[in-house]
Amino acid sequence: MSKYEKKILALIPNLRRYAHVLCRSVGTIDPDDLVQECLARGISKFHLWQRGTNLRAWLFAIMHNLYVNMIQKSIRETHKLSELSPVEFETSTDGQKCEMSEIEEALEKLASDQKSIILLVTLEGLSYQEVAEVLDVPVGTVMSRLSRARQQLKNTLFGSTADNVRYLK
Amino acid sequence: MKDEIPVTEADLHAFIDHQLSPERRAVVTEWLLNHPEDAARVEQYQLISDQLHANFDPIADQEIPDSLMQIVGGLKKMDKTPWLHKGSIAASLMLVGILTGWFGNTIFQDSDSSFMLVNLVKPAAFAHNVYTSDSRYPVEIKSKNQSQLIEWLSDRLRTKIKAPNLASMGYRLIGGRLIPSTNRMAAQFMYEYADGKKITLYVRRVSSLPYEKSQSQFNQSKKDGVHIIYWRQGEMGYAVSGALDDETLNSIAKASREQISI
Repeated sequence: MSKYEKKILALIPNLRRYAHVLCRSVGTIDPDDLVQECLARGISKFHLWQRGTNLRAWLFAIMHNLYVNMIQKSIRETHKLSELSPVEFETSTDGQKCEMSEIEEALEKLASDQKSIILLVTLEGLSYQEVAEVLDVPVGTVMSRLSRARQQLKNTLFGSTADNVRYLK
Repeated sequence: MKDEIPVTEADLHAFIDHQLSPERRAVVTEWLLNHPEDAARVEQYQLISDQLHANFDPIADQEIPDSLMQIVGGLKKMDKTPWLHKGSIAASLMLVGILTGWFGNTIFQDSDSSFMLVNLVKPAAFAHNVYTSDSRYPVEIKSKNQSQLIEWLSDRLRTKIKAPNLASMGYRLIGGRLIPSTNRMAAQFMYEYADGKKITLYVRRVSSLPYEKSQSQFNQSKKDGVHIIYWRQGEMGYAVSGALDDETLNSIAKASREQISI
């Protein structure tokens, strides 16, 4: 097994977790399909990855872009999706969308970029710089969105108090 | 207490996310001791991070599905190809893509191949051998009930399934069946030539991503005398199998793809 193969394999659990959380809000997508496509693209475009740069940020960026395209696509094709309803996978009928924990519900209330940032930072342990690369925005934007995301999650989960967030420059 | 650079909102987040230098971390730790409101907020943020982990870590702890492992295995083949060479293949494929109007489809090529072999080609070949050799029940529903067959398969695969008409090539639809495949369901249509020779078309979902109507080019595989031509269109994968020469099977695959893609 090659060095890079090992590195990519080691990232699959993280990619799967991120995909699972992202796909909760798009009930029709099997998260492992998103991971599959992300890996397939990563591998077919592997020659474009620059040695020495961050492989993790690069793969998460591929997944993020796939996800964004997918959302735009499914918005365009809502009529088409409803035509096939009830849309479910042939193999998954456990209705996992039904029961959401408190934290999941709170996450669903976030804007999608805020949700991505909080997931990438807290769950996947990406640095702010890596998140900026994944989302293709400046680090300052990552920081302000992270701050807003945490504030909103806090309000949803613990109730809102008179807040004294000091705004970022 | 010395005069320090004031602790910012960004510092508080970086403190929670372990992204501070040890020196700065010490400064923030001390700040929090003297600023209970900030300390309370940091604690709540920390709690949110803990809850996210408690909630979603089990997903990362699951066993990785084989289908995903196989894709990464595709890197091995590519590792052996010099990068420059690889790049030029990609470039020429792209050019062919532009010329033939298949731009954007070559992307599925290498990367998909191991996944497609395991989940589409092998099961299609096996199902072909199992059912074309069955003289009593080659199909589950016969073609005289074609509309019922199509409706049922479309319902089970949750997409519109079509059985191409291959009469112009001398192949008559006998019927079809539903088959469990590796991790999804599949449909098989069987066709027969006047001399009794049979071919099958195997259809299954290879992804649930709502794609552009992207089509891959034809790939082929031969196993135990069975010749298989397969391709991908959007979420679905198709495989035509038969003990036929390249040219005949190719024209059957072409006709099938044309009719399916309408």
